This record gives sequence, C-alpha cells and structure tokens, in this order.
Amino acid sequence: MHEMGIVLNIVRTAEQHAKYNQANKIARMTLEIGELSGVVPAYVRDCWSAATENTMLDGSELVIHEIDGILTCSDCKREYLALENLKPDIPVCPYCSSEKWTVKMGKDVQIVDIAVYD
Amino acid sequence: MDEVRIIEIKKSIFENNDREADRVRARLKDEKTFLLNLMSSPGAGKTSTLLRTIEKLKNEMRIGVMEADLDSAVDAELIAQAGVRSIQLHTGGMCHLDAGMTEQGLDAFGTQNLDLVVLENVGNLVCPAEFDTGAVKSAMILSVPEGDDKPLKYPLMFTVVDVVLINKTDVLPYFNFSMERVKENILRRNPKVEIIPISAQTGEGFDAWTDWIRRNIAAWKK
Repeated sequence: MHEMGIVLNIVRTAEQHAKYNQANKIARMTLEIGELSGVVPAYVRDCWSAATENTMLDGSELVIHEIDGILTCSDCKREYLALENLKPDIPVCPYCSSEKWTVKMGKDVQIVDIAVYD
Repeated sequence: MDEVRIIEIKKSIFENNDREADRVRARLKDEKTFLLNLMSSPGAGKTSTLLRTIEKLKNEMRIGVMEADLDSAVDAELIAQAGVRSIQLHTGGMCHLDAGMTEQGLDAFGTQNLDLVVLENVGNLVCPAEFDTGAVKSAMILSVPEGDDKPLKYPLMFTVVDVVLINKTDVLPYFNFSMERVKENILRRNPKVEIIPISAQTGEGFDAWTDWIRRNIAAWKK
C-alpha cells in the first residue's frame, strides 16, 4: 500500500520534531494533502492507527485538510481546477482548450503542525 | 492534565524525499557512477531486457543491479547468473522506492567501483512515478501487448522518464498496436523523451538502446 510508507515517513518526521522540542507524546497531527499528490486521505486515515502503534503518536488524533489541485495554463496563463477539467483523464484548460499546464497547487503533502504533551 | 503545546512543522514530505534524492545524485557524481531507474508494469520484460543489456555491455563497463521487486529473490538470482553484481532491496511490501531506500541500497552495495547501476523498480506505473529515487536518468518499458493507449492512462509515468523502450516488437503482428500512435501519445505527454522500440526476445533495437546508455554514462562522467 502506497500510503503506508508515506505515513511511516510522516510519523518518523513528527517524532523527530517532538523529541527536539522535548515533548513525550503527540496528541494530534494536522496534515495537508493535495488533490494531485497521489495520496488518498481515506487510506491515510485507514492506516493511521497501525502506523502509529507504539510510537509517540499512539492514540493520536489525525486532522486532514484537503488542498485543491490548481493548474496554470501554459498558453493563456489562467488558473483552473485540475480535477474538474479532465477530458477524460487529461486536464484541459476550460478557457483556451490547451493541454499544456504547470501545477500551481495541490501536488504536495505537508505536515502542518503537531500538538504535544510534555 | 499536562499542557498541550502546538509545534509548527510546515514540512513537505515530498520535499524531504527530493532533498535526499539530490544528495544521492551528488554522491553518484563524485563516484562517477551512473544510476538508471528502470520502471514498467509487471510482465513488460524488465528482467529479460536487463539480461540482454548486461550481455551486450558487461565487457566494456562494470555493472551492478539493485532489485526492488516485491515478491522474491528469483530475479536477483537470474541477474547474478548473468555475471554482474546484484543486490536485492527489501521494500517490505511497498509499491515504490524512495530516495532513502536507494541510499541504503547504495551503501550496502558499495558503488564506487561501478560505472552503471540499474535500479529495477517495483513493477507498477503509478507509485514509482511519484518518487524521485535519486537516479541520474529514468527509463520505462512499455510492452506491445499492453496497448498503444497506455500513455493516456498513466500520464505521470510518461512525463517523468527520459527514455521509453517499447518492448516485444516481435509480437507486433498479433496485436492491434500502432507504433506511430504510441509515439504520438507519449510525445504529447513528454515532448523531450526518447523512444526506442526493442525486442528482448530477438535483440532488435538493442544497439540503439545500449548507445543511449553509453552516451548518457559518458555525459555523466564528464
């Protein structure tokens, strides 16, 4: 499963930050998951309790903010929502029908913050 | 109840991997080792293509293979029989390799004395495309039976690779597969990619493919 490896990575990073800040337990984590990241929020939630077992995040709450996938058209330079403009599975600019674009937003997965106990 | 503190992290998990990948590439540059990330669907012919490639190049360069297949050590044994060094990476059932795993593989392997290391990625066209492994160049194999519309179904894979090998050209007469259409579909996604039709069965196209490898290794060692 694609998400498991990513979640394990997230857990390791969060633990490093918690230790660096002399905390003992992480009560909550906030993640931002981009629509174009290839990471599925539902699967992240599904594997959360298994991935955090026996870590500082054991029993923690997971908050996920989903971020829209936004593209910039390489031809007319306007921005549009990627997933609402798939034809059928390639994004096409709704203004000028160009198939060339760059990703403006929504490709990333980011750890926003953690809530810790000392 | 203890007091809760909020620690802001604002850290991208992909950025993390990208940084590690750049570190891997810097190290390979110092060692003058060319790392090729080889990707494909299961059954497209990664291992047989690799075996024939090794056969053609093993007398002129030092080659190593890192195998990341999920299932077993079968592939690694075949490669070892071909007379080059190989190592099996254990992805622990994961669907892709990331730069951290590549680095561990390189450490275990000792790549200083190798000219070419091929990273045989997990057989899958989705997840491996999303993670920079730290390889110098990426290649993918698309085989004729998979269809000439595959580039439309897996666009990301085709945009991240430097060269596409169209394998199993020997069975072209039996499939409704147009070489022109597939090239058009690939170039639409990635205008800069090189496309080389090959047959690991008959050896067709392997001169062009091994030339691509020689050319890219020479450029990397400069």
